Amino acid sequence: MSNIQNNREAVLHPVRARLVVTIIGLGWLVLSARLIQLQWVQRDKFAVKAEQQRELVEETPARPGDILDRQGRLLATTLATRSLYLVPAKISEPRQIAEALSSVLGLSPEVLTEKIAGNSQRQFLWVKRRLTEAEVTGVRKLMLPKGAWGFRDEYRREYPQGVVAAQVIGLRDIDGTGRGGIEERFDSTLRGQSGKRYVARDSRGHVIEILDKDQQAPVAGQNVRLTLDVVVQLYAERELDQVMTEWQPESCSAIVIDPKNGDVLAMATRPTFDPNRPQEASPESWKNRAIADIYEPGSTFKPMIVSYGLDQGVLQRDESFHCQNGEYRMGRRVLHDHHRYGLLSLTDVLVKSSNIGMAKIGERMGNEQLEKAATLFGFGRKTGIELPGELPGILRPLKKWTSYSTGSIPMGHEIATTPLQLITAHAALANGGELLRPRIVLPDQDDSLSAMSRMTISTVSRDTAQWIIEHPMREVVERGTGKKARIPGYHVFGKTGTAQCLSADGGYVHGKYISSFVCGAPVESPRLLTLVVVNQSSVGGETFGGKVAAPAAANILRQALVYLRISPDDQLIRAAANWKDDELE
Amino acid sequence: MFFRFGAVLSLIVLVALTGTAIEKQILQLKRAITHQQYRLDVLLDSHVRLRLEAQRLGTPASLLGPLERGELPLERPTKPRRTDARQIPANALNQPSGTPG
Repeated sequence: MSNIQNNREAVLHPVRARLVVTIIGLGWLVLSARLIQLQWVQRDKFAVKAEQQRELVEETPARPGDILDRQGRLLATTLATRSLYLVPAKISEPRQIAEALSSVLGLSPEVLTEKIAGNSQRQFLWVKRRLTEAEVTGVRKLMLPKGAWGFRDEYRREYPQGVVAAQVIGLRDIDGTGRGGIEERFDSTLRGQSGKRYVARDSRGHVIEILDKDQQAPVAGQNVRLTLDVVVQLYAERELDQVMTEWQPESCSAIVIDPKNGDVLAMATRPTFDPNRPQEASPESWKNRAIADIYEPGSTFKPMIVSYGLDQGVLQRDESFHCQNGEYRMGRRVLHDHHRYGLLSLTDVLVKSSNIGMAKIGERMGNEQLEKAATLFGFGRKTGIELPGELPGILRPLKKWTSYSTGSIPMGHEIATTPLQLITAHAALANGGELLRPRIVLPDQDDSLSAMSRMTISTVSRDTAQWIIEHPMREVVERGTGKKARIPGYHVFGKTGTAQCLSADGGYVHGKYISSFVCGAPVESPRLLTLVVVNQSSVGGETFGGKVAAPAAANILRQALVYLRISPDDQLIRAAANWKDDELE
Repeated sequence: MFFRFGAVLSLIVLVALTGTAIEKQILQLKRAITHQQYRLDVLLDSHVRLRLEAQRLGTPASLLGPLERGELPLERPTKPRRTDARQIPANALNQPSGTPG
């Protein structure tokens, strides 16, 4: 029995041995094949994959440039801050961590718990970005589990002047993209160029080495220097606040410009917002109304028509117009003046702001010349200021003008302008007839912009422009509709304007008016020009530009003249002092 | 034979040790550069913060009102940037516009 068994084992033994050797041999063969596949056939693919797992390209953000006013005061700057993130996949107790973080960061623990639980498989989750120093210290003290959280360096934009020139400056959103104003227009200049570096990580993802290859240092953004002067801007902002309190309008805006070079010294809008707290801003407050609100200029447009008429020889300085005692039929239309004027000189047509007088001037000039005048002074096209969102206004093509236009255009109707367009046109009169491109960025920033700024369009002759400023517009302030803009010590010129609000469908909004006033000084050599536009004042039914907008415009002008050391006329100061003494006696 | 082998081995060890020392020096320099860059970043940030704070304290918005009301003592600089005297002091012409001129 045992012999049979031994014989059988003797037969089976080599078979088993061969089987084992074959299996092991096959195993080695498979392993070898796999090695050949990994090391030879797919070598490159796996090498790239391994490198990707080991190496990481880290972007190093560039510090955005500052925005400064013309005196070098900071309008916007950037601080390095930290942002907190979690690794939800490594968090076992979301509730506990959420409660701890919420106590430091002022977040809702329930919301944060839900957020962590809802992203439990993810490796990255923002908790709060751009933390304050106190918050960073608070988070560190919590001693949260290692690997479950971290900080990332980011930049936070700060606006130290607060609401001052908010719409002009704009802001940077949470991702560092410029939104509105200079921040948007000069985003690429301010943003700089992010750098990159390669780092090696261990199997747990920790950085173990910064690799030498292809390192690129970040290039900080360039500074942008504006033509604004924060002090003049502040004068404008304060006066607009006063206008908002006194007249409770829907909105208002103010611009101060240097007519000699087109530098915008102030550009303010109400309602406004604080760029440091954009979440509190109302939708209406984002709009820069100085360049994005259009309205009929009304009487503020009249000096442009008169100057062009004079320059073309259609009008004479010493001629008079009969204003038909306040009622004048023009075709099927009957025009009215505020007062029953009879014979008015050309100067008085502007001083009294007679619509009938202007309609007669329109009849004399004809539609073609009226259109030329409006086009020459830049109406119907963008001024080209370095701000996004500027509107071109409305100047319809000549073929769409009717006989109605002949009466309407000279009095500033049937045409829509932005406040900036209007003050730019007046600047052309104030500087002797050269239409300049207004600028908000000082020219040394960019030579091409500087060259563009120097390009001017000749509108009317220096002589005509000077006459308009020194006679009709000066007398508007001294004895006409703009008496509230008189400034002791200075000869001021100006023009009032009151026009009905335009509706979205192209008509007028009944009972709603836009009051405006443009003024400048000194008459002898204008250095500053101010425009205030008040949209729909709602106190006491008062809408007249000379009453609603003129005091604010004159106050801005007066303060700016003193601040900029623009010398007053000694004789006028003495006259003002004598006048006060006489009053006291 | 043994001496030659020893000499070659010593040379190899010496080269390896020198290489290690140089590598160590490179790493130290790298660390120093990184440290300096970090310090530069910190100083730059500190400069930005201090500048921002100084600008905040001196914003026209916070100073102009008290200056005009005479609540802040005015101390003239010993070396003023502009030497031409203002004919009307900035805070002396406070009557509103509209008075005959």
